[in-house]
Amino acid sequence: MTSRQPELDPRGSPGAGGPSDPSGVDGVRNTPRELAGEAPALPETADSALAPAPPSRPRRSPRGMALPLLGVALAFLLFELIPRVGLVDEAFFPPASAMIAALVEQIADGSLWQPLGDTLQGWALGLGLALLIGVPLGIAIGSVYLVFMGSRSILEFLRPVPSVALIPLAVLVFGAGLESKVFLAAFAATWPILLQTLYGVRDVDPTAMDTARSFGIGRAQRLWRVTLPSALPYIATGVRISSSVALILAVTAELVLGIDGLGQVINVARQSGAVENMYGLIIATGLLGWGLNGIMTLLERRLLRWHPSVRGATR
Amino acid sequence: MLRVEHLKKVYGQGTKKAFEAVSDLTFTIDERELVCIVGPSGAGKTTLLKMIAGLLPQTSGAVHLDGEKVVGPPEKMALVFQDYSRSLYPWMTVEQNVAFPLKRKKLGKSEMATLIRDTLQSVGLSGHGQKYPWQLSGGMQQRVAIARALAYQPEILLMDEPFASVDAQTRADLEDLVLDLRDRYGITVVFVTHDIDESVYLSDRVIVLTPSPTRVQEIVDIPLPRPRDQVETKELPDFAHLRAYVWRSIKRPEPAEVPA
Amino acid sequence: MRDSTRQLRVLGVGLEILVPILVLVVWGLFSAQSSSFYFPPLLDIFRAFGDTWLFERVDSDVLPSLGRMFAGYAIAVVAAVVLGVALGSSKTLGRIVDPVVQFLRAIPAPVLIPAGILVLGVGSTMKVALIAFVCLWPVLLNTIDGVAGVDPALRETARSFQITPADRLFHVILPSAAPQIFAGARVALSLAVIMMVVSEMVASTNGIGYFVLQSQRTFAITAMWAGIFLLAILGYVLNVLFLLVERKALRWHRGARAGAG
Repeated sequence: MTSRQPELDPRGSPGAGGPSDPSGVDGVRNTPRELAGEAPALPETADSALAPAPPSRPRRSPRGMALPLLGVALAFLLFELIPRVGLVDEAFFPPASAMIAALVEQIADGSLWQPLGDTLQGWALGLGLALLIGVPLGIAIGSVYLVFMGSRSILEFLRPVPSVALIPLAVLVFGAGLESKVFLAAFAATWPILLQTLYGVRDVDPTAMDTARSFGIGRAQRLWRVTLPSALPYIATGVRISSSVALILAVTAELVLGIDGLGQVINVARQSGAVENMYGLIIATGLLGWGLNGIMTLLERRLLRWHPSVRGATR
Repeated sequence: MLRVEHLKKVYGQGTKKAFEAVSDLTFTIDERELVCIVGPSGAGKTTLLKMIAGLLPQTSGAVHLDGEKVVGPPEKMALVFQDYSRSLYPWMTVEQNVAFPLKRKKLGKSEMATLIRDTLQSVGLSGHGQKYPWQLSGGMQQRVAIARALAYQPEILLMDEPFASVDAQTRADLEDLVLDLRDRYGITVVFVTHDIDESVYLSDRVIVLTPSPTRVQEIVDIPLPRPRDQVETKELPDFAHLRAYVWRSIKRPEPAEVPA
Repeated sequence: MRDSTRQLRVLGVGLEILVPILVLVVWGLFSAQSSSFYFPPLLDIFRAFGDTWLFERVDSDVLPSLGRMFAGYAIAVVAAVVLGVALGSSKTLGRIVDPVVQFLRAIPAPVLIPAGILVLGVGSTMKVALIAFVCLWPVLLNTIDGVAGVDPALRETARSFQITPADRLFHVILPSAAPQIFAGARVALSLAVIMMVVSEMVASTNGIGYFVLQSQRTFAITAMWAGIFLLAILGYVLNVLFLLVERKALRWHRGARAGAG
């Protein structure tokens, strides 16, 4: 890092935060270990402990599935026994087998798909909007020094604002419908993407940049061919975090405001005493979150197959 | 011809932390010459090279390339950095890396393909074009960086400690590659290194720098016969003398007289 | 050249200070004549903020909210670190629990509130328990990862000097896993805030979350805005406090990395 020109180097990231997630809810398991060891080409940020790296999951061999499966089986057994031996009232916390049966039934009779689709719609629109806003804004703020300095304190203040605080405002302005859900999801999901893009753009390797400049490559080309690809690992982490944040906000909006979707049917199931259905739906929501996270991780690794933390695992 | 006149660089001028990296440098490098710049570590070698390359504005003085003042990266110049892992783009294949700077040359498709193939061949990398740089060894990666610079068809090639991060055998091979390419392409080479053997082995002249704030300590002519050879050249008594001479020159606090 | 760089820098710092002030002033001016029901004058919001939160409702709403949140959060962090050290020390155990922990963390936390209401009612117990349950997973996952990832050289060095297991835990394992534990704790903190607010919105008769949603439902719009401002400030302050603690705890880490970089 010493080779950096001392000229204009305001790389102190905006204040304390670091490029971690703001309303951040997904486990950002970007570990210093990954950063220091496995991803040497990823330049460290001032707050490197929280800097992003693509997920470098331990490489699993197929024969290693026995232990995880055992874990799932044990958990099932535990949740089966707790109500059966009377630790909690079976009326409020049915055995795991009953929860799963209720889930299967709702899949079979098709009643799961409508709310699942509604939730997915809110998630996708929110995340999409967040991308459309976050990436360009992050690039603009990250690459123009004065814009960066001008927006710094505002970002610093707005970033930790809990998005759920805006639920009343959303319902007031947009009413209890899809718009509210999308607004909340998009608001929450914009921050991780925006900030990750911002840090990624500011953290482009100076040698990579100098190389392009020495070959007389113009500004637009440098942005497109050098800045963006180098920032991509950061942006991808942002998208992965934003994805789970968007899901949380979508479901919360459904739950609190009664907008169509999984959150709402879960609440209705509770109110109508369909306890087993409620747990089935909660499991379905969990699986949705788990699945989306898996898809995001997969996409990230595909997109970043050239990145040190990914290529080590795939080569 | 490259002319460097009273070049000076002060970082953070006007602040308390002002640091004079380069004090006053004047020298010229002729066409087709191979000149090594050596100096103790922290001698502002990289700063100098970046100013020559038009990447870093100087505080005062000037760099002229063929009579034109350098204010930005000149088209006649190509740069090879020490750190290939950072100067090669990991998201581009070897071919894409070489092709990337050629956009401004406005070549036809087939012309471009030929150029890329030829340069990759001249650095001994035929058949590796579709790979990513990180799938190659360190020495091969630096060859890609050299190929990229050559394909750019520069008149002058700047190399910033290009072989500092490869092992000894690879390094000898790459040194010979540079000598060979200089002859074949007829280009001027400015080569920054901290390795005295390397500088004597490669150069027509060696420019010795003082510790920073940097000045020219002295300029040493290297009249060793060409073509050079890793074994034969290095066992010549003249090689040993010149090496010792440059070595002492670097360690000496005051500029000495230029040897006859 | 140099002068222009300095000017740019001064201008930058100036902007950093001026822009937020400007934003407040512009908002204040534009909203002063506001007849919009949803966006009352900024000054009215400030006044409502003073009336509501300084200090009338501190006792009835703010303290209960914060108390529940911190209780749940503290339980989660302590439990997660203890569990995580145990699970992370064994590769086999770590692999067994991994999918279950992954799944539990992936549940969008607020959907657990209806279940919490069923099992534990609508009182404070439910909220504390839910916050603890939700915050547990990110910290646990990161602790397992961190402990499993302790550099074997460090472990072996400690062993070769015959350092006691307790010293090994407190002076080798925990410090070297600390950066990851903190990363998890940070995620958990924002989850705690979300759960605090949402659980109060869904099932409560006091608390900040209850207050903002109730204000909106009774069309007390300035009060609602004041509540949103309070949550914003709360989020900001919690973030700053967390960073202070983290910075202090991980000072060695930053130093080591700066040295290596």
